[in-house]
Amino acid sequence: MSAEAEVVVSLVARCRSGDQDAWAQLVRMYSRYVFAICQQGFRLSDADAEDVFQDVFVRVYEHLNDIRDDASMRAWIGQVTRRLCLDRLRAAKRSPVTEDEWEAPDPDDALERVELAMDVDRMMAELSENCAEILDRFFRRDESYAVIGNALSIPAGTIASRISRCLRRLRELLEGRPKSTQPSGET
Amino acid sequence: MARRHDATAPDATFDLVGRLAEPGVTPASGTAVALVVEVALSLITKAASRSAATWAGSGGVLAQADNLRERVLRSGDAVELSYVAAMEALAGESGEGVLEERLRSAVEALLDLATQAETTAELAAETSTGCDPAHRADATIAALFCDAAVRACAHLVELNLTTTPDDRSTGELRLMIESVRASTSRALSE
Repeated sequence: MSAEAEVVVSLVARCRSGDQDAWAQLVRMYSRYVFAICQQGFRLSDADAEDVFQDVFVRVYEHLNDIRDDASMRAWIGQVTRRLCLDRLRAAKRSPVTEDEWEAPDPDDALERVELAMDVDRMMAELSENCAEILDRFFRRDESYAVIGNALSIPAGTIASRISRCLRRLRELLEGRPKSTQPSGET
Repeated sequence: MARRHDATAPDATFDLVGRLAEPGVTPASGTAVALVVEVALSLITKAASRSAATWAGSGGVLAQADNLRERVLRSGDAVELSYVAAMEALAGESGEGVLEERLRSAVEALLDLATQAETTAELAAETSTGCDPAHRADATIAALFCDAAVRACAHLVELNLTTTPDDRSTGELRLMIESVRASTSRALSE
């Protein structure tokens, strides 16, 4: 077990026994992570991010005894946060609110991200093998440019631009637009 | 159910810089390095988003920056937690084998953070090349921050390695320092 996992397992055990300091430490440990998903990943407003934050940790607290693998706390919290962000965006789409009530993020941008996430499996299969592999390695396996470059025999300095081109192609597929001219052969 | 975490949210999220100055064991230097890489990612995001009208690659950069931000947050937490665990072992609560294992974990966490900084530096260079020249300075500064972050990680690894000799980590870091230097040079030359 990693040092991080050991600390988390110990914290969760203390939380279960009602240790308030441990709970505060656990929330502090993951709060920036939760806010980053809400604000950077889903572009929620400050108010919505705060609401999701509250809901996430209420849920964590309520289900502390149900967690099967304490060491996987981060992954579980990330999953709960993403689900609640999606719920929040869907609710916003169903029930638009006034400007006074909500500092709305750009709905097109936010929903586009959600739809991209939901459809990505299907669309990845339609990309070229090279593109699909680069996107998979970067976004799903969290590999660095250096690792991707070594694995695919591509200069690391070109990976970022290749990813951008592949994402543009993915966007075109998602939008059902005709295939555009591709300068690099990545599609 | 009472919401017992109300008091901690703003402190943890918005006042990390203030907490760095406090006398507790953590947050400490490793967390500060992660924060610097986060700042770099924010600058990249700013440069790319402000260039959206003229640069087709801006959306791809924004998506990559989002992904890297999550990695850096994860990595920063791992650095902080592994440091706490190592400090506990150093305080004599564990045997020598445990101490060595925890120092190794601390080194691995720092290597991972350095890797994220190296990747972020390259994204900064890419942004500097493609973005609207009016916003290039943000991307260039981001690359310089990442350069500092990788060097800082190397220094922290050297400190940890005083008790666990291991050339692999220092070799990897040397390569990362060269790589980030090349990215920074590219960003500066635009």
